[in-house]
Amino acid sequence: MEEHLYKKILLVVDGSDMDHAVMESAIARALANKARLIVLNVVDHMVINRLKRLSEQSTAEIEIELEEKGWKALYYAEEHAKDQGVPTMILQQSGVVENEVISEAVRLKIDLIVLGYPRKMPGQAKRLAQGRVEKVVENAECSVLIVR
Amino acid sequence: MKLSESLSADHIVLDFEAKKKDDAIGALVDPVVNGFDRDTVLAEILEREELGSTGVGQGVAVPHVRLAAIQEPSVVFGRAAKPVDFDAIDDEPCSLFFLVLGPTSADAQDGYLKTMAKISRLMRSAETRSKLMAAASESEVIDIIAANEA
Repeated sequence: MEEHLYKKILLVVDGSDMDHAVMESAIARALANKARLIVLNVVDHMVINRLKRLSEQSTAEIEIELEEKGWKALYYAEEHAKDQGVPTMILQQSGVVENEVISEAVRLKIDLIVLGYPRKMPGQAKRLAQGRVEKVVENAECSVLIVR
Repeated sequence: MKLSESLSADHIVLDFEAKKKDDAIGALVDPVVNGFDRDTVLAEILEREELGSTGVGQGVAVPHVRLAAIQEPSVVFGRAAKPVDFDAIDDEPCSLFFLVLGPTSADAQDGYLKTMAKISRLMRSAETRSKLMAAASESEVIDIIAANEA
């Protein structure tokens, strides 16, 4: 009998340029493993705090903007995965990205997390984003696939 | 438009009976059919469910589909009398439902995504979920949503 390594794959999207490559990689693995794809977007509290310092918008306004951006990313991934026949679920959470990814992976009994490793970002933002990915790799209880 | 403003009492179905996913969706679809063929709308939603459950976990499901004939997003809130196996993301049965029909046109996509974002935000709160589970009437549901949405 054919054995599949992964039954549930968690794809993390953030609305960035990396999303498409990460999504393609996750879909390919979902198809190969006949796995369910769960697409997660996290409304990032660190980004909310940073934008709050830099703009005159209220926290609630920034949060709503990020939620809507996140839903666009989720919707795009859902449509794309569905078109390729991959069973797909979408989910948005709010908090510190790495913590949410790790805890959702445990809660949803995920076998593989797929996320992007940001490279085309300004210095400090890139270091922060890369640090998040490294924390997921270090602390996740399942396998993690990093897409560059 | 706020979610609470787009929900009227006839778009709220409290304590419906359902043994499985198809029953639950069947119980929720009537308020949004509104001139469309019920079987077609039902078939589209069930087809979407076959491509992955919209049970988002913590007892909540957000069945959603986009239809060419729809101009504006349309939402129904439902609460099941007993939790329904919805093949949810966390394998837990669902009691609270938001059924969303959205338009396919690119121009109207924004409103649909905003509606999905509002529901997602509202349902992240355990306190709100708990209040909706305990609501005694349709007007109380609307009041709870109004008080807890941004």
